[in-house]
Amino acid sequence: MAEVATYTLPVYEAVVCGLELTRLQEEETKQRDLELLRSSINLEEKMRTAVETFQKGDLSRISKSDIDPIAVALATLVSTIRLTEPWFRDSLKIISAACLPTQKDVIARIQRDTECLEEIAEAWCMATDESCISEIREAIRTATTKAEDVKPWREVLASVKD
Amino acid sequence: MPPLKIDLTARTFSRDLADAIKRHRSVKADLESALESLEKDPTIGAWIPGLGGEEVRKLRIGVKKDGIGKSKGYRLIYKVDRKNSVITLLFFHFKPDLALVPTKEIAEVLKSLNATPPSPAPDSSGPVN
Repeated sequence: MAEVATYTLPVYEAVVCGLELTRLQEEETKQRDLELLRSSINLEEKMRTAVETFQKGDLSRISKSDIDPIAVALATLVSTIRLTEPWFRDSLKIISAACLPTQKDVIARIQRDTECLEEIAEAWCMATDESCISEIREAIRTATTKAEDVKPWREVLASVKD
Repeated sequence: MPPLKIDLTARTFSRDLADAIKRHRSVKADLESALESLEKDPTIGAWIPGLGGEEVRKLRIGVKKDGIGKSKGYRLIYKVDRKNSVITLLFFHFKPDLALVPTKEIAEVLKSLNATPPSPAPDSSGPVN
């Protein structure tokens, strides 16, 4: 029996060590995936807050001196997020099957937010362009239809020749 | 909130729409779809600041049938008059190459920011009245 134990004990120990390593690797993968999900969700929440702040807020009192730095900050933010897109795509290749649907959903939301931020950044960049602002002011000045005279838009659009 | 009225009769918009239809015949359908959303929620477009008290926004519109996405498509610029519940469409530009802030302007702003001395931190060690 002693001889058998001499041979089987190291094998048993190796199996236990192997199982423990596998368990640790699985634990590490799980932690990495959770961290990845946490970071992605965190980013998406911050982006959504930024989008809502700019979309729903009253910007009528923004001063000219504030426009340039905010426009640059927004343009920089959009460019930076665009740079991270390949990283997010790659994350889908390594993430575990259990976390994959959630990560896919978060990435889709990040893409939607990025498009919204790009729209906002464009609007702010237009505001830095004096000729563009003058053109808009002029268009507002000449658009004089009274509210009660506005015709149903579907009818007007349908009457436009193709 | 009831749907807002949408005025399509501004001279600048009529001119742009005619040009757009010449360029992309199917763009009317994309515009119609955008206006459906706009009359329910005018905030779907991004506010262009710097126009005093005016709420002027822009919305990107793609041309589905021609495979043109929003970023490479048209920019609809409109004014929201909340008091009278009217949206006035002002421009409908085709801007496939619209850039964000030109690099030169970014450099200028960064230069001016670097030139501005940082404001002093609040002094907590000052006298307490």
